[in-house]
Amino acid sequence: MKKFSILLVIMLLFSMFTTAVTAEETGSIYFLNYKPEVTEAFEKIAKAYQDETGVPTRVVTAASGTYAQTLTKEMDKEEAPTIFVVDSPLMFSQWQSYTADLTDSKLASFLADDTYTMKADDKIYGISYALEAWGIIVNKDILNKYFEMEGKATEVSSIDDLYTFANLKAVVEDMQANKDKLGIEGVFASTSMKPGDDWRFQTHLMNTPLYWEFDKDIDLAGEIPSFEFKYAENFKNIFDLYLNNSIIDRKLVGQKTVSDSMAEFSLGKCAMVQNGDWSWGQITGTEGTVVKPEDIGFIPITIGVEGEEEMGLSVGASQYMCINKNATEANQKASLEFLEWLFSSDMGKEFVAKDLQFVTPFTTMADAEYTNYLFASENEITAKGKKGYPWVVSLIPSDQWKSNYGANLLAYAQEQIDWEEVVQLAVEDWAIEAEIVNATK
Amino acid sequence: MQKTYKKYFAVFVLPILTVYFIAFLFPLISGVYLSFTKFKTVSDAEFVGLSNYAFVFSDVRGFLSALKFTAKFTAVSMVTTNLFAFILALLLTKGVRGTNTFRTIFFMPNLIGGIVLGYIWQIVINGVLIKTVGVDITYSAKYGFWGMVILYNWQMIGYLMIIYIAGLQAIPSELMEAAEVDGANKWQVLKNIKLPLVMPAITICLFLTLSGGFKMFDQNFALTNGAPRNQTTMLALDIYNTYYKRIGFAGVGQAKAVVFTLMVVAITFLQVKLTRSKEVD
Repeated sequence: MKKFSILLVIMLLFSMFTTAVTAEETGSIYFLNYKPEVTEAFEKIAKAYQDETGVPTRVVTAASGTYAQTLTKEMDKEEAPTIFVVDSPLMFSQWQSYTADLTDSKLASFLADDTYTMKADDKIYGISYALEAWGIIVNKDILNKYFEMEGKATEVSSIDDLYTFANLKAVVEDMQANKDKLGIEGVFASTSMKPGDDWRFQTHLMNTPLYWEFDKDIDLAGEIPSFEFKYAENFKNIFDLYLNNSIIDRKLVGQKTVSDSMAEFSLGKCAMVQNGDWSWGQITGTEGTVVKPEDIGFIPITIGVEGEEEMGLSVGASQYMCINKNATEANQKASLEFLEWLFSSDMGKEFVAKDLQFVTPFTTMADAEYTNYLFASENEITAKGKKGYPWVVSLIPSDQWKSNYGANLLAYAQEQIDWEEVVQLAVEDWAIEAEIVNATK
Repeated sequence: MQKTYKKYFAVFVLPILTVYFIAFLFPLISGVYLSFTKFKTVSDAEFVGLSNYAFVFSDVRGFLSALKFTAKFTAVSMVTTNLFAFILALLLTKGVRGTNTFRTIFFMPNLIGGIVLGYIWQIVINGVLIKTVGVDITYSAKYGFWGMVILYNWQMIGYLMIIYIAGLQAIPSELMEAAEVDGANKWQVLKNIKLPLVMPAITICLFLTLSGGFKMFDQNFALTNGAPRNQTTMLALDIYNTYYKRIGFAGVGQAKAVVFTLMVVAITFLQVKLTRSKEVD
């Protein structure tokens, strides 16, 4: 027994010694992953990279909602993460002393511009690796059926003409009138207003009016500005269009969930649904789905503001990769090389497109082949020269505002309160919540 | 004897006293302390005096509206659950055929958890409302209120019924026979014999429904979740929402919880005292 333990100790020492040696030469990588949904993909990538280069690569995933806490704990350890993620300007400010300057790195040179980076004093400290976009998802097959239909009341005959609210409204209303001919139950999927499932409207749909209101001076990291809801009528335009041209009566939206709406779209019961590229799996994974993947595409959300035909989808970054400044030189170098490999080598790009399914801001990824047609659609819209709406929704002071606003929207949909009251409450609540939040900044 | 007790105090009482301190007293005290602070994690609490309490008592659309709704709900459901349970207990002590089967059936809803019941009743109520009125439970606070009363009745009646049956069966048969010989009618028997003698059971049942109604959470959470517009949020759900859903409001949530605890203790204490005075030995 004694002999055995001595042997064990010797082996242990030896193994430590060897790793120490290799680590000094090539460095090692420890990536603390933020997204639980891609845990397996990242583990696969880490193994592939280690097999190819021999650099020890480790990926640990924090359980959903515990990233900040896990990061705090891991950073205290001897072998701290070499690559970590920050999800907001607030989190960046807390971890800034750990982030290495990436401005002159090769990785940063892959960027088209610095829109999707985390910066301080004009230096890049974090780079987003996953962009998310939302707009109106359409079933092109049904739209084409309409465009070719005899006796349609509009002149619109291409999806490219749906970039203004006037055209969208005319088409939607005419389609709703001809829903039997088109074989649908309504143009829009149910407006899911069940409390907790209303984020498509109380948050995402607010992005467009908020963008126009705060157009000039959007400072996502600064104080919450005061809010007048200047584009309230425009919000009402699009919200009414959703409610009145839908599968269900507007009084029944209070029990509908996002999954209900996505299933309706997937089953071909409707032609349009407002959502983002993350819902791809929901659409194609519904049992009995009839919509063909190649028929799924995006059009932007329009609300009747001048100049909106030049705009595209709402595109934003929520997570930024950072390199741990306090890691050894070798480890920092190895980590950067790993990320460069991931986003620029053929093998890495295939992993990103097929396994991780990330849309990245890197130009090197332009020729990657995605299996998600919503991503392809995003690229098409960008290629048309349309400008993306940034995520102005980050300015919404608190979740309390969102849930209050959602509840008021529901009451409006049920015709319990009128629109003026919704607007008034939204402005009042904003003032209250902004004061609370700004006081702590 | 006394001496022996003292000698073994440590052996018998100390373990449970320690547990009581760790699991009950300590959280209670630290909870009260935290209600005077602003905190994110328990270890970084910062003392802010009474400002949390000031917020609680000015929170018209949150705590105060929840308080009003909870009081209304508890008042109504306390009466209905006890009334129906007592009537059922009277019927099922008459020796009808299949008494045991009925008792089992009425008791069964109590075995189902509140969340499950909430979702089941949500489907039922929505089905009825959509068919008849063309709207769902989120349409009006009225629907939510009566939905919760129905749900709570459904869940509690069977349990209270068992307590009342036990109370009724404990009445000595001599008393009933004597009343019969004296020519008392059914109403007189109920009023002068049965009711006074089941008073202990009534005390227990009122206590259960009063505190249960005040503390109700899962049924509320599953059935209405506050819809429409926070009008059907009860106290426990409001505390939960404040504590977990509003960043930076943990201290306020804690203050709400302290006020809530004091209120429930005071009200149930008063009720037990009142009904105790009506009990006969």
